[in-house]
Amino acid sequence: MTRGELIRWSRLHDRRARAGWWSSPWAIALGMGGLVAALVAWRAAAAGYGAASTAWLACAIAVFAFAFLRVPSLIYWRSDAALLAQLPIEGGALLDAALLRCARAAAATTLAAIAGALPLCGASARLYAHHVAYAGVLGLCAAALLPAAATWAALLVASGPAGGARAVRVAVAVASGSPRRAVAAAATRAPASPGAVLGALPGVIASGAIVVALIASPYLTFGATAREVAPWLGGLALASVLALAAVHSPGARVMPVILRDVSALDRQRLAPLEIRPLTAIERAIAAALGGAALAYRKDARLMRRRYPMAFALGALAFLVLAIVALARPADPAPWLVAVLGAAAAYGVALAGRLHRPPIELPRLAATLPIAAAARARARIAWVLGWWCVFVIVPSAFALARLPERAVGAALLGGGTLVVIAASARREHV
Amino acid sequence: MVIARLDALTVRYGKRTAVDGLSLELVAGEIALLLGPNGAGKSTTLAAIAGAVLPSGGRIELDGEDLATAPRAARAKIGFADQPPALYEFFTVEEHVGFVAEARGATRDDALAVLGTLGLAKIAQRPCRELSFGMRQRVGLAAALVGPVELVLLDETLNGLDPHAARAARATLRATADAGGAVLMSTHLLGVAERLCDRILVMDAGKLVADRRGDDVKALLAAGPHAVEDLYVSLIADVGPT
Repeated sequence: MTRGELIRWSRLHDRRARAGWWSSPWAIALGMGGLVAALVAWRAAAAGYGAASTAWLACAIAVFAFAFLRVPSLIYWRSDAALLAQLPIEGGALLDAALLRCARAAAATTLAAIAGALPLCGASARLYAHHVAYAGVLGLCAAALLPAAATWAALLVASGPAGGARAVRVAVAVASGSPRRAVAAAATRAPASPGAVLGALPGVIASGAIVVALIASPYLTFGATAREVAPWLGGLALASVLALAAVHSPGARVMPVILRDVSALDRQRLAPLEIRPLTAIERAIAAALGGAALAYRKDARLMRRRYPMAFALGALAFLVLAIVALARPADPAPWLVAVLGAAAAYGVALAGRLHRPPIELPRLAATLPIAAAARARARIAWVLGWWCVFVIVPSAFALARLPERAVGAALLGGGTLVVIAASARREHV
Repeated sequence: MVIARLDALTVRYGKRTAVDGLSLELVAGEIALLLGPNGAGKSTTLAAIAGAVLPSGGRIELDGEDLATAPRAARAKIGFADQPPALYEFFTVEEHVGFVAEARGATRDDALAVLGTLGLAKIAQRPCRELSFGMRQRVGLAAALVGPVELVLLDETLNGLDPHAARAARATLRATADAGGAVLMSTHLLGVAERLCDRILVMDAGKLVADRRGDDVKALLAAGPHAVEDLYVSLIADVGPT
């Protein structure tokens, strides 16, 4: 099968998987861009174009961080990895089809960011152009730097425990946030876990790209000249192109091996299960739920094992809200909108996960004597518990300390209703 | 004693009728074998009785209670092993079977007892996602049997079991029937079925085309080693999936 044929099949599958035109990446990007534009326009009217640019920056970092995190799943962490690995398809075709998926996703994200900056044209075309250039560099990272990092990680896994093991261990240790661990990791000979490699290397490089972009952010509002930020933004762009060029040839050679290894890892499930009892909070919630306690206990245990990231991201939201409360910025609205909006969107995603395997098995549930209403109550309790601990508590603290309470309170109330509604909907057998 | 009664059960998927006016009774103490070609409606029939599929028409009674009006009470008496078995991948085997047991009003000890009977005690602490095909079948069977189950529905559950596991499964199913329960199972393993069944039901195109029980079945099985296969071939034309 040629490169073109594989890409054509891949695009046909993607089209079939969509529910309708509204779920195409371009429609979603334009919708997201519209939301960002509304926020930017509101901040421009309320607090001036400086605040509007800050709001845009917060949103752009959030959407590009999501795009960066998605890259491994566009390349190898795919449901069809095992099938593709078995077929006699040339590695170059597999890699190019994957890179095209990354490029399209990056283009859609860049479109959202560029559309979101449109209200800044009201100040000057130059201000808008700066934001477009900034989004372009981040888009290039999503299209080239992160795919290169993900391919590099897969190359290390595919080449076995000896392949760049020390670099991998250091990257994993850096990703854990501990310099001391990083130094110790460089000295040790223990092999790194393949799952950690595949997740941590792209994660470290994504974090680095975001930090560099933040350093160059004064450029957006003329706080730094193009020459001053050229080493940062130009360096990111150049690194993206060079990194992709460097991994393309070896990546193409081992792409079938990468897919085979990743699908094999997927079967081995990458990491052992951490089997822990319910926490005190979960036990207390279960005790208050009566007939829904059994379903809630099941949801709580399975969510902790399958989606531990929910707790890490929840803790991140908690931390950002606490910092906003303590720092009391002059214009907290963009931060509250970005964090509460992202937390609500993630809460809706978690509610969706509670409805489907491996957390809920609707066909099995229908055969057991547990009422659908009890299952819905259990889901609401889990999502609301997560929302209370990680969002409502720090938000209440922030709202108590910030002068502008109406916006934050409205966002918090709206977010709470949205996550309840998302978890209350019935599952389909 | 009649445990379950199907009266003109009909299930449609859009314009296609998967089960077409099926009527039958399942009595205590019997193991009934449901045969038929691929697409005959066997799995849909089992899923409809279990509550995993909503019937388009007809009536299902369990112990004289209509499943449509008293579904929760009835669900505790029905054990269903789906194909493939629906397992909570991130639960251990014990947790999965324990969850189903508790949902049916049974205890953790009941779950452990079923796991022991089916030879699964050694893997009780293993996550379901790490299990092989045959192990998953056995855990699905354990979940179907645990608790105060009177009607056991098995959809190809004996496929993929090793000889020891198959023997333990057959013994457990016989014990369930002897204790006053009923078993309705679909399978294409006619040899296994011949050693186990008291009744043979054959479906084709959503309808029941044969129902042999009691002395008929004994006579059939006494007729030779391939008697069930011969019966099947004589009833079902080889026209591929319907």
